[in-house]
Amino acid sequence: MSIRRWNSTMFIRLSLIIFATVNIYPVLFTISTSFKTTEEFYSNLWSIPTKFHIENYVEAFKVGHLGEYLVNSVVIAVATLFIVTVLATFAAYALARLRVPFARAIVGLLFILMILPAESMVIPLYMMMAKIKLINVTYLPIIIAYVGWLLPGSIVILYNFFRTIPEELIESARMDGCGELNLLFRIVFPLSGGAVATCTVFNFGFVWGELMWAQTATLTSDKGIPLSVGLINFQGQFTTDWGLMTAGICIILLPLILLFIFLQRYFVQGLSAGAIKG
Amino acid sequence: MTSQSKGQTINIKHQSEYPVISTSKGRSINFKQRLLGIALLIPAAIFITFTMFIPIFWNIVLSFADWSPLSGLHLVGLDNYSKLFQDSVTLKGFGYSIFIAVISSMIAILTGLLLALMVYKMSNKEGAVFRLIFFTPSMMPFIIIGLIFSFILSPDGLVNQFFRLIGLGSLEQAWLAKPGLVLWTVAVVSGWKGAGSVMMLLYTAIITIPASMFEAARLEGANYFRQIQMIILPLIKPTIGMVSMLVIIGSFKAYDIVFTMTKGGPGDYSKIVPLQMLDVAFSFNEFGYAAAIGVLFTILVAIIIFISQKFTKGDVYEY
Amino acid sequence: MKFSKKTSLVLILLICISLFVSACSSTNEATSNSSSGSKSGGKIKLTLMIAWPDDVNGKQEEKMVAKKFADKYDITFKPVDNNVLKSIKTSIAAGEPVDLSFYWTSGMGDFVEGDMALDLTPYLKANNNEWMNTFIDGSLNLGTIKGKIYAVPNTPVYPMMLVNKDLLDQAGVTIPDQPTWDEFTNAMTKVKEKLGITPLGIQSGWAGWLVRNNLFAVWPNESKVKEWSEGKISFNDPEVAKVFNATKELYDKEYVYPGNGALTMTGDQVLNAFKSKKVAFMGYINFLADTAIKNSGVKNVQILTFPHMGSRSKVMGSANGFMIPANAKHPKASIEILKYLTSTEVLQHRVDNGSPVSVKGVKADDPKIALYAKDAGNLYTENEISNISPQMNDYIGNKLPANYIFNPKTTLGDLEKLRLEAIKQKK
Repeated sequence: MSIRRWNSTMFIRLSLIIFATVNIYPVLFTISTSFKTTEEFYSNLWSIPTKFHIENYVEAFKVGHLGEYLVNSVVIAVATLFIVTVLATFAAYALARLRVPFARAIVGLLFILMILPAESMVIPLYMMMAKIKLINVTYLPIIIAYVGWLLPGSIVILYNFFRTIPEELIESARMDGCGELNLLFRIVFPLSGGAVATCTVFNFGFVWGELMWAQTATLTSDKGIPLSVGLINFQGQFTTDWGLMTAGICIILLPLILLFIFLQRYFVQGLSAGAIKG
Repeated sequence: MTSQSKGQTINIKHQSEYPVISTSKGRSINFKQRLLGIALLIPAAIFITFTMFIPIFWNIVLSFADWSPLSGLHLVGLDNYSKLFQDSVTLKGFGYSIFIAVISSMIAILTGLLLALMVYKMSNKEGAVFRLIFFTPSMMPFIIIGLIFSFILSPDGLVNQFFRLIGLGSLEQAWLAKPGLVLWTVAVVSGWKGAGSVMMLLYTAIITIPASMFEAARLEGANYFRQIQMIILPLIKPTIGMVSMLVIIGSFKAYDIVFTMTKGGPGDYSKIVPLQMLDVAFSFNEFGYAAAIGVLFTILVAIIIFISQKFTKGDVYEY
Repeated sequence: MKFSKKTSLVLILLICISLFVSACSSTNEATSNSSSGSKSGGKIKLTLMIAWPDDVNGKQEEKMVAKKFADKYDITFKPVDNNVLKSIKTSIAAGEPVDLSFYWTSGMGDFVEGDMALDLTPYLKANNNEWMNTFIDGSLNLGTIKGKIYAVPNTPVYPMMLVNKDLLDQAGVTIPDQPTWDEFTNAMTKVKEKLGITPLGIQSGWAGWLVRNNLFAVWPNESKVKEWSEGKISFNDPEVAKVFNATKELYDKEYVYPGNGALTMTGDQVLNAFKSKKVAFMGYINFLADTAIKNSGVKNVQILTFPHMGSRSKVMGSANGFMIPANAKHPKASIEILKYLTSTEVLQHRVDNGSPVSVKGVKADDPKIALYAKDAGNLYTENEISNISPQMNDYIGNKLPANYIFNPKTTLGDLEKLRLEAIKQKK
């Protein structure tokens, strides 16, 4: 019996390693290209650079203003994620456990909203914001649009999660005289770590890489430009500076990976927080 | 060992069975709840109305009209819609979108499930590393994946060189340049990206299964495969359902990835609906027509989602 | 360890504060911006999109404009990218248009249908055609639609062929400077035979030239060319099929690098192939030829006029230039900057860097410059067939030769349908 188990685990490990290699190759490729000069890149696409030219990174920061764009992206991401998380949690809890009328229908509607392609909303949004003079404010047009687009998805995910919190738990708290808001903050929030972490990671991925609206909203200004728009500066009409570009890509990827590692703990912990003692 | 009863065990009863408090005090509690509930909904509702409902309304009106930025709006009734049904490029685009959505969803869900099951078996530290590696593609912005893969898939790119290396040179293809093949290629890349998210979501569902469940199975000498069949799959079925929905929805929105890899090419052969919509609007100045395409596309996707909901049996929202 | 109530409150507070601070600082700007309309501290605020990121000359011009108008205007420069059409139109739609933008003079049809471009004719003709006369004769034609001029050029753009003469010598082949299509294909056949390489390299965005140039060239006389450009000749005409088939053959016979998959080659990849001697001929664009040749390291390069069927050696062409949105808020300011950008003062710098320009009165010391501009006076002045409608423009510009190679019959049918629709519209 132990031999059988050893085999299956080993087999699984092997396949995982193979998958992982295939998976990580594009990322490795990007990283290695970012250290090459353009000529080196073209002479042999797949080689590892002989010398590690960090000029690409230096230039990306100096000429490409990546430092500034990075800060902008961070501000936009933090603001968006914070607002989305708070509002979505409120809304999802309300729909799940506060007996709001037509709750199911509302969730269904949100589901449909998730389907809508962002492309068709860019022009009307831009026109609206231009009319109310919101378009020249730094960050706000982008943040508002992102929050609006991410809310349906997050609400749906959190709603599903809240529905799994056993009714007894909430009822017993209510019976103990716990006020609704207190219940929300003291009991429900801490439990939802995992689901919130999940939402956060996905939302962050969206915000970090969204291009169309970001470019449109910053068309007439040079403030508040996020990284995704900044990458455009490395793509010429006929040629692309791959060294610079991949350096930019690596800079973009790094916070994502850091965030994920940081949130790993909450994925597991939030879910293993026992609220009901067995 | 505390049982992590978070609604995962099969014994949890649903909302309808909690004790009813039928006093006037109960009714006012009810009322307070509802009030609070609505109050909590309002902020979100404001954002969503502003950023989604108004544009949707605008789009719907526009789809019945003829409009271009500096000329006015003329209503033309159903003209745009009838035009759509005669436009072979757009119709083919619908087909391409559906194809890519179906294939990439299947790949994402199956691969994600497989990976989640495999990673679960690994110890925590190892598992964490694997999880990171598999999830990374999901986090990468579409644009970046598109760029990297247009390299990897070019005729001199990694994939073809790999085939050459292992002697299967005959398998070399122009992955992004052949009409039918390009769709498969894009679908696979899209699916690969989604697999990471699926894996994460399913993994978090699997780890909430209490260990006590597995104790019994281990005592009986069931190997991992049996355990999967008998314990894991049935318990996470609802999550699989929800994740599938999310994946399918996401797969229809594949604009960025197709644009960076092929721009709809070669020729028209990978012109999915969002691409076509933007072309029609910005290259042809037919914004009304583009809106009509958008509306029809949304309706189509909604129908597909409803059908697949029925297919995965049961209400997505029920846990 | 969960977030204790305290830490979560502190975190929330921190985030709120940072948001508040950033929002406050930006609203301060906003109020000062929006309250004064588009003036900031007395200077008019302009947004200009004039340079591609890899356009060294363009970047230089941005600096020159910024310096010259520093006291008058507060200018924001945006890079031009592949989304330029979308960006311009979106900004027009929202009533916040960019004030001046790069655009191809032959592409103004995209804007005119919606009346989105400012008519520049009155400004050009003012003072006895003062501004108009600075342009090389005929170069304003492309930007003219129904008698009105919507765009002015700064650089003539047309395709040419670069040849690695060493490779030709190796294959024992010569080719004249203005080759006919037959001379071209014969030379390529010999190169393929003798050297075993795919003789031609051309990137996917430019492959259409092979067809488009011949669609001009194949007609026996000028009046037919004119008829064609107005869309009066059917796509079912055998001459048209001849043109399309000639290009299809090149791809079918794998004359185009790298053989299978030639239709998705990027500029970088083709350039690399030229560099590593994997192709002998490279289709390229005139005003970038200088840089390309330098980067390729190929010493012995022959510059050919783009090959043509028939006997006329003219070349199809366009021009890089600028346009102004019709609802621009400060048209006079835009025009002032535009005049500066098309002045000899500015354009002389481009010439010095090896690029031909569309105005008279610049001096070119380097004889090679003349080479890159040698066909500038040899361009077709008639519009391409693509100009008869935006749909035709999109099809011809973006879907050829791919659609024809995979589906010849349907493609001709589609094109014919588009032509008939366009003619109907014009009536």
